[in-house]
Amino acid sequence: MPAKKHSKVFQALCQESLRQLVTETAGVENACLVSGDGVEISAVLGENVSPGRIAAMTSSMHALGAAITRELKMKECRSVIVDGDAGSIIMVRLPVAQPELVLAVTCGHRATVGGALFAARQHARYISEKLSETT
Amino acid sequence: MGYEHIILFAGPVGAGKTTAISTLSEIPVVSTEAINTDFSISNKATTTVAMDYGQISLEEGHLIRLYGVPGQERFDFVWKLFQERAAGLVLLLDESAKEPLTDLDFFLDRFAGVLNHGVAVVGITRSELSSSKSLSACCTRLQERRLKVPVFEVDARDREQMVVLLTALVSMVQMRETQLEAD
Repeated sequence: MPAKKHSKVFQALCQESLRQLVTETAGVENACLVSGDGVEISAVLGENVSPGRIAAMTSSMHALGAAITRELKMKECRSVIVDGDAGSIIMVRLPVAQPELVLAVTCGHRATVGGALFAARQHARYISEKLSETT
Repeated sequence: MGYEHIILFAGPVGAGKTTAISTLSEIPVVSTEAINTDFSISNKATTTVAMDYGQISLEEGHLIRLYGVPGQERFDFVWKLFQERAAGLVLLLDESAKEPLTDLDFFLDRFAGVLNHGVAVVGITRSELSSSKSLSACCTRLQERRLKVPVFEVDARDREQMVVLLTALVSMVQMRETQLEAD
C-alpha cells in the first residue's frame, strides 16, 4: 500500500528487531509494526495472518485505548492488551515516534503476558531510538 | 417514554463524517484521529481509525447515538461491527471527489447490512467545490437500485442543515418501526 516511506535502513532494522522479538521471546508468535493510521511498516507473521488486517485492527484498538485514557484523564495510552482464551495480543505505542507508530505482538499459551509486554516495550524503545537516529 | 437509536455515519475519506458528528453532538465527541500517512487515499492531515461518537437529543427524552466509522476499506471490520446495531445510515459523499457515483455504489454495497434492517439517507457534501451536479445523478442511481433513500446537499459544518438531515432519517426509522409493529 503506498504510504509514507521510511528509509530502507530503518525498515531493515525494524524487520530484524521484530525477528528477534519473535524468535527470542518465549511464546511470542507474531509481531507487526504499524502506523497510527493502520498501515503496515514491518511484520514477522505466521502464514495465515494478514498484515493489512492486523495493521488496521491494531491502529483501531490503540486509538480506542487512547480515547478512554484521555476520557479518564490518564494522560497517554502506552499499551493495550487483549486477553483471549487461546492467547493474547499486546499493542505498544512507540515512545517518541511522530507520526505515531504502534508495535503489535501476539503470544500463545507458552508466553506470560508480563514477559511479552516487557520484551515488546524494549523493542519499541529500541526502534524508536533508531528512528530518531535515521531521520 | 423516549426512544433511543443508533445512527451510523459512513462514506469515503474526507466526506465530512467527523465534522458532521462534531457539528451535531451535544457532548464532547469521542474521537480516534491519527495522523494520516496514507497519501494514496487522501492528503488530509488526520483520519479516523476506529470511530467517532457523539450524542444528540432531537426531542425531549429521545436520544440519538451518532457513530462515525473510518472511510478507508482497510477498516471494513469496523463497518461490519457497527452495522448490526445501527437503525439508520447517513452516507456522506464528497461531490468534489473523482467519482461520487462509484463511491455511492461501493458504500451502498458495503453497508447493505443496515439497509436490510434499517433506513438510510445520502448527504452530498462539498458541492460548493464542484461544478458537477451529483444530486440528480445520485437520485437516478438510487431509483435504478430500487432504494427509497432521500438525498440532501449539506454542509457538514452547518448544524441546521445536519439537523434537518438527521431528523428526516430518524423519522424514517420511527416509521419503519411502527410499520414492523403493525405487521
